[in-house]
Amino acid sequence: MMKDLLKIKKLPVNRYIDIAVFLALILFPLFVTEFRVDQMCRVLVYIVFALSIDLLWGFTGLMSFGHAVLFGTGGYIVALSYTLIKGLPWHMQGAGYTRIPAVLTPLLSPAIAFVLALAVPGLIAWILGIFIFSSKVKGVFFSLITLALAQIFQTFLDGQQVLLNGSSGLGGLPRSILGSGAIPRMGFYYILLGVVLLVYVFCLWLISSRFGAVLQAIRENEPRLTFLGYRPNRFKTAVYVISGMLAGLAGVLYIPTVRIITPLEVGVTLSTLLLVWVAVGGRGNLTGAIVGTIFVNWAGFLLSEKISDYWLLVLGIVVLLLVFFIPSGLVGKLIEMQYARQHARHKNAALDGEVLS
Amino acid sequence: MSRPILEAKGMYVDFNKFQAIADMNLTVYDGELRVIIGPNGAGKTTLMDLITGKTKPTKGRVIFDGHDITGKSPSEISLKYRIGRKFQGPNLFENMTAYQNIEVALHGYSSIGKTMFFRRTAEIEARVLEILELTGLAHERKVMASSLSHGQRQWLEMGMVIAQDPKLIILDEPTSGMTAEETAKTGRMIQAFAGDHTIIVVEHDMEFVKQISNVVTVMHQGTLLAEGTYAEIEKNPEVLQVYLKSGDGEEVASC
Amino acid sequence: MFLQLLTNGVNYAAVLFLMAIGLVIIMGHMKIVNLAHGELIMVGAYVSYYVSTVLKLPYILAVFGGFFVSGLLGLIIGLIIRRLYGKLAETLLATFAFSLIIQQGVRLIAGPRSQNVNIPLNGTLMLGNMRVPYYNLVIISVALLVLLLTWLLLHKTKIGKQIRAVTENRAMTDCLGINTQRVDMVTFTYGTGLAGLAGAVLAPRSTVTFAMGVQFLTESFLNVVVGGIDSIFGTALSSVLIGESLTFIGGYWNDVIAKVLVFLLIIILIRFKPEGLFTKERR
Repeated sequence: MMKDLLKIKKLPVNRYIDIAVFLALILFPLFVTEFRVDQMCRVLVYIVFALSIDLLWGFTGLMSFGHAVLFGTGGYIVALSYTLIKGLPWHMQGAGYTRIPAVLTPLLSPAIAFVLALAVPGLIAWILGIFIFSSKVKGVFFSLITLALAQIFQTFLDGQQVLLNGSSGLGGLPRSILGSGAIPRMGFYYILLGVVLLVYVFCLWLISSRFGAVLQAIRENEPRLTFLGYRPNRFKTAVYVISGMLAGLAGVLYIPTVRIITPLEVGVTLSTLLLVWVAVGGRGNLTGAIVGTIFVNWAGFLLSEKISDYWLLVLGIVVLLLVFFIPSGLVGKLIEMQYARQHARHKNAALDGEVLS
Repeated sequence: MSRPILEAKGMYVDFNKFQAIADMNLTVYDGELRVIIGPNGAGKTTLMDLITGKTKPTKGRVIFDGHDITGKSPSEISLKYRIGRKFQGPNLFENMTAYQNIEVALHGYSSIGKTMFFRRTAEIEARVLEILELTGLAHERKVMASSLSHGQRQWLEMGMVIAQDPKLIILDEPTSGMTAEETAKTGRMIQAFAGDHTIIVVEHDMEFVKQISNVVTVMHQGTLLAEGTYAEIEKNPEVLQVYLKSGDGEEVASC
Repeated sequence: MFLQLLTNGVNYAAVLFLMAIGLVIIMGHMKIVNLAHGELIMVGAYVSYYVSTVLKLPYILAVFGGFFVSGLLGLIIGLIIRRLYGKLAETLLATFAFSLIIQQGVRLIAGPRSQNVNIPLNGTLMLGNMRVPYYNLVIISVALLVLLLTWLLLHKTKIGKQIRAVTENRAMTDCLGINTQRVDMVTFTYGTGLAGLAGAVLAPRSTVTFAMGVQFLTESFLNVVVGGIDSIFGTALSSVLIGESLTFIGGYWNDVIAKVLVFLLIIILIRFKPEGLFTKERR
């Protein structure tokens, strides 16, 4: 009896999809043009970003509309570091600087910049978490506040003329990581893919630990959890910090991939689109975040070549249909179908008396 | 009798001028199985809210196991003082499996670090399965809480409370919505737990009360009306007047 | 300087109030956060552009036109998303989808270029050293008028009483035989109509583009966070508070710092008053 109960369970359907997707991603650059490889590099960065919001929204139920703030913070720190390493930028010269101010000298070290690019978003998330979660702010207000944060971050960046070159942003950045020389395109693609895989494995580890179960329990029924001896606020802050650091990491990777960063690119639009990617794929199972990001971004790349920004009109209609007809997303729907089938079989088995509990 | 483990003294709760609880006293002894009955609106659930920290009293004190727990937070009361509670109408993690529901409740891993580096040892798995067996849900371990039958949902939440390994178990209407057969099974379950734990059961079903009870506390209009064995309560004219005669007391007004 | 900033702040408050009031009415009543709110303001602005600048009709028609067009769009949105009642993430996604559709739809119809709307009332009132553009007085009057009319609507009419009843207790009102769907639709239309009206009134002060909506949305949200969703007076008060703070900090320092500081203050504020500054304590 016990042995029967402890039998290793079959993998859920989405883990097979993960394997297939990663295999496809390994083979992808062998069959396409360099331009498409560059586009996929950007998608890989966005996958890291999408996995970070999936932990926060999909698993914990905290729908942040301002996650690009943490992404952008990580990105801007590294972008500023790269810019300063090249020498005093002209927008600072224009403001009367003759040398790099002392406070910015630590950024001349790529390693320090990297650490800061993860730590500062984590710190921002921690401070926000302490204030927002320990108050009685519930559900939608978290979304409202984070959306406002995204807008204010964008305004703030626009205003940083001297340091961050305002709305033009920081450009002309090298395709290098941690102060390395320029990395060839293919090599860079596989480095990114490696990072995506690591982040995915980390997320998988996290959600299959009991920590992950507590996060889901927060999403499902937060008040109940307090009667089981947990302090949900601490968990929410913790996952916000972890998610924020991953978003920061995505921002770091964005710099050598796109090689320019502007306030518009890390503003409200990115924050909201991020949620759309994850919603389309299905939230709360990691796979959906990956699949949705690939799907929506490629639809965007290919459609906007034909109909420019009107593809957003198509996206709007697709999201609307999705919400009404496949609210759990593409992968979410598959998981539900698998569960329904297993559940039906399980019920029949119980009725037939094959398995006695 | 053994020592008192729970003492609620002179409890008052006001909700916007409405007195939900007025001068309520309750003493429960270590190892006891106590049943609390009373018509709807008698304040039974509110009293449980006071004990578990969901509601703060306007006046009065709750002493548990020698500690004053008045006004402490639910998480502290469940973690430090070890009171577990099954809510009225199952209160579960719907889109999680029965196994996960029990595992999250399992005592001893509620800090962030412990949850993160928690590994499913054979010992832990065996404990979860043992609880699932105890509540008749071993076969349903991979079923989402939302797909369980109403009775199974009630049992799952009882299993969660057991997993907390509490000193005091509070069961708020464990048999509501159950068939006669399920109710009987629940009664056996509760009696099985009763050996090792102190239990308070809030109930409506008089047959069920008769099946499981030693001492019955009757509440009415937020205060103590009577206390005694089922046989004594049954004959108490006051109790008959306010409670037993008013039918099952189930009078949920919908339109 | 002080008095000048004070009057500028009143104007800013009026603008904030007009932007947020429709959102607050819908949020308070239906617990729906309408992410397309900014786009409905944008639609109102475009209507005023066509009516006043292209067709050269009187500006008052532009204001009514903005109200009706956005209200009609809002009614359609409301009828569709009503089915998602109570599902937070889904309503947010659906209204975001509407915001994309309206944005790109307007771009398709009106073109991607930005437009300017002539100020219908030029000139400036001089009070000693203080300069108050006449149009500021118009905006302030419209805001007060909207506040008054909304109050009258909610408290002195039959439909208003029904709206408040549904807000208080939806299930109970349903029981009493009030058609909650009709009440919801009236509320949604009125709230989104006010967004259009705001757009029409504010258009002369903004650059009218299909992408202008988002800035209105976030400022309205901050207003909601401070003012709560229970009363239109809460919204009015928080508009004054935020408007004056932004104007004063902006006047003595700069606009960007003003926004960042006010945002930080709001974050600290909600730590202690999560339901908004002007909401009564509830159990």
